[in-house]
Amino acid sequence: MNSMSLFSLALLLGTAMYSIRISGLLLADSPLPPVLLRVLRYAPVALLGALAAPGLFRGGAAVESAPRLVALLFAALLARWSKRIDIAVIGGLALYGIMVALS
Amino acid sequence: MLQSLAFDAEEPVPGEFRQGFRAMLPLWSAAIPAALAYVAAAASAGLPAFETMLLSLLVYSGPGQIAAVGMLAAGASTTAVIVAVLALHIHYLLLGLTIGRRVRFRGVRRLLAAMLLTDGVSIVSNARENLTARFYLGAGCSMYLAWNIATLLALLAGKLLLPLLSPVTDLIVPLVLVTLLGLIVRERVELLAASSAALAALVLVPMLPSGLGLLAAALCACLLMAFWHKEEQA
Repeated sequence: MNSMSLFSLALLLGTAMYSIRISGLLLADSPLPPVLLRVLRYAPVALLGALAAPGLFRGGAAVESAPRLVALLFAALLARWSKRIDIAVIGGLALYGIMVALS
Repeated sequence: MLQSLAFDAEEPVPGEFRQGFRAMLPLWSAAIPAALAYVAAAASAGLPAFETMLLSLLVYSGPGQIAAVGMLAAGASTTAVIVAVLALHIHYLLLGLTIGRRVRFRGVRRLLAAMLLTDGVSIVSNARENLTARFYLGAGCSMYLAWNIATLLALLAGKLLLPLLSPVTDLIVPLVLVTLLGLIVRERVELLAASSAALAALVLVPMLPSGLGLLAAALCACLLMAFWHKEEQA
């Protein structure tokens, strides 16, 4: 992707994000259909699950991807326990480094 | 100027803006590793420094920016990237609704309040018993500054730190994504939504054009969960 299209993408993404941010504030006084609220509730977790899945097995063969999977699972559990993104990311990277060094 | 924008004759509580700004300080520490992960992901996707910084200024969302550069690296189209980032932040609609029902923003303040809306700002603001526009805008400005300063620092430190991270650059994006999942999944039904979307993505991503498979997988999981939730309630 060239510099101009990256610049346009940044502007488009910024505009799209701003639109979704202001929509809630503008709709604050209007009721929304319950079915839409239910779909909206699951959208972030579903999309994060879908985005993360292909990266879980990028290592190729099962033996190669095992340290990746263990490190990612460890990071998710660490995030749930500590509620801190920095601790979870550093913990996951450290465990991956140790497993790769030992293998 | 921001303080005067936040001023409202109906809520002349002194120091509210400053209190909101200070309330976000504990979250500043989280911005630095997230910005470093974003800058590393952007560098591995071949994004120049200017565009990397521009995304932080305009998009102002770590998960959204990391997802966007991850998809760009995988060759996704512009449309797919925008739709995916929007879908990832669809809950901002609910955050905006919640904040908008507690505080009435008018004119320029509403425009500014929208730009500053994030999960962290919304959580901290909603925890405030008597939420005012000044408190919200103080919290929002604090986090916006933190994220952009952290991105700038990560870019400046990048030449030193990125070579150290190079053996694990392809691990950083999935690592941040599963970490975010670990943070936001609170109920079993949400874990089920994430797992079903992941399974659907493993099937659909190789079959469909890049980006479309992810969106289709997420949509399938959302509809399934919305239907399941309704059945369970019935």
